[in-house]
Amino acid sequence: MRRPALSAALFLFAAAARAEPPQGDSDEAGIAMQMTRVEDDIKTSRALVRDDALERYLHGVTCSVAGVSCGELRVYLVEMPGENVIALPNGALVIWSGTLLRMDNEAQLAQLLAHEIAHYWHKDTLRQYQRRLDTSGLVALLGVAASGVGMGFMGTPASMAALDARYAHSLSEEKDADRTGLELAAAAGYDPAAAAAIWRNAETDYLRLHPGHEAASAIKENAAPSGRTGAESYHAVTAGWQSRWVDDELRNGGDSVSLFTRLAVSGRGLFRYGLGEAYRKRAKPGDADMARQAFRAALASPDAEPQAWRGLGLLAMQEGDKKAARAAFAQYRAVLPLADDRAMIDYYLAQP
Amino acid sequence: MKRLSLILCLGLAGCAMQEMQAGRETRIGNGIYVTPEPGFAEIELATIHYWTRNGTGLDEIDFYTGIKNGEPLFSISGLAKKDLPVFQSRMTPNDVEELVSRALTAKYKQSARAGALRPCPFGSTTGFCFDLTLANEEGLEMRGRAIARLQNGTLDIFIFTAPAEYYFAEVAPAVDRIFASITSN
Repeated sequence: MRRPALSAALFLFAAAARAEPPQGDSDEAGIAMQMTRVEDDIKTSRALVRDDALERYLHGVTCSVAGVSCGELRVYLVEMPGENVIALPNGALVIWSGTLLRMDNEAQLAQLLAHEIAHYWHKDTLRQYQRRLDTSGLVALLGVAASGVGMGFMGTPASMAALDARYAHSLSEEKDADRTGLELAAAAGYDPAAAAAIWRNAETDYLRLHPGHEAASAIKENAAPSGRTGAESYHAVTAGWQSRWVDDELRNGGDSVSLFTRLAVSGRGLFRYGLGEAYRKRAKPGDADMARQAFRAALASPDAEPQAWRGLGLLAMQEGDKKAARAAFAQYRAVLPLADDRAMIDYYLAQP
Repeated sequence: MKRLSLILCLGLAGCAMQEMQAGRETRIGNGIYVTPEPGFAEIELATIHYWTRNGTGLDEIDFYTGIKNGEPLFSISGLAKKDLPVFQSRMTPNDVEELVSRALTAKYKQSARAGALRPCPFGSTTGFCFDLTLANEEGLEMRGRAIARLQNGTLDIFIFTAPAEYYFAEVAPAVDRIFASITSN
């Protein structure tokens, strides 16, 4: 009985919160104009993920939590490692692809989107940008707006962290967005426990930009599972991209051991391979053994990841174990005969 | 177009530009020599050193030699040294391929990708090559090709980039001949 009443309240709230077009030469009008330019850049960016099925899916999840204000929201998925969702003041939601890699199911994604939609409804981002106009000026504003679009190195997790609290919403804005977001996702029938999971799994850089979720997490952590998780539909629509997103994380250059340690718990070969590569690249004392263990686990997984053979080969080559390297590279060539780096692997194999 | 490069170069303190003498072996660094093709000019600006035939931004061969463990491939305006992707002497050719795509992503502020890693002659030794797809800061689609060698824990690498439309195909054959002309101590 509670859900219809909640839905009605959210409907009224959403209707009241719908953005009115900014007027005249106000700050808001200026920001709206700049945001239109940023959004135009997003639409033509090579970082924009162009996949009709995935776009429809993300739009559908957004609309399921946004309800009547769905029509004023646009969702853009940009190929970018790391975790971030940005609600621009004009209703554009920019999702980094690394975010989707980190979500376990649709309910978690819905919770995250609902949280950002709440920021948009509350005009938090607009106020944040107005504050930035008062301090560091338009250049900084555009830099922040460009983040996550593949247009600026500011968009990397490290540089986002460097922006630190200057970019973060205030604690009260976060708590209000948390509350509204949880209500939106619950009204759409999503499992509230998903909210606790996303904040529990979030990495340091993301948490720095979104302070104050401890209370909401603690409440929802103990909630009995209810509502849908949408795990199957989520995996179906993202499965074809996950290998590329794993590659993006590994190419990003940061220490991704903790990320892949968490993802590898699923037992998926791809994530175990990612963990092996993360250890191989980090190369701290003891990491070589951990890498080898992860690569072997990847190959023993029901969905064995053949790139783990190359990982084992490169690791052995770095350790000077030519025999082990040759054995692993031979397996890699046998399993992936058309691999993009096959000529180089053949060269490694031909070495005495 | 070279005139444009010259004008741009003259406007910058410390920038030196000179037309290359085709067919005359030129020292690059770390004991490496290459022979220019007709029409190339050499530009030196602080630590940046590249060759171009049609002009800056239209085609460039960047030369980086003797990169040691912990050093970046190149500096990037606006980025502190600690934030630059750095070479590690334990890197394999596969890792160097990835390092270059990461460094170009940081340089052009657009996602760069590398592929088709393969062995290539590098002077009298065997080095490796790979292809690049990227975009410049304005979003212009670019293509590229890199040739490198790992020797005694250091990296030598030459990176050719040009707009994907027209310029890459126009200049790539000459660049291939330049890369094939490498001699080294």
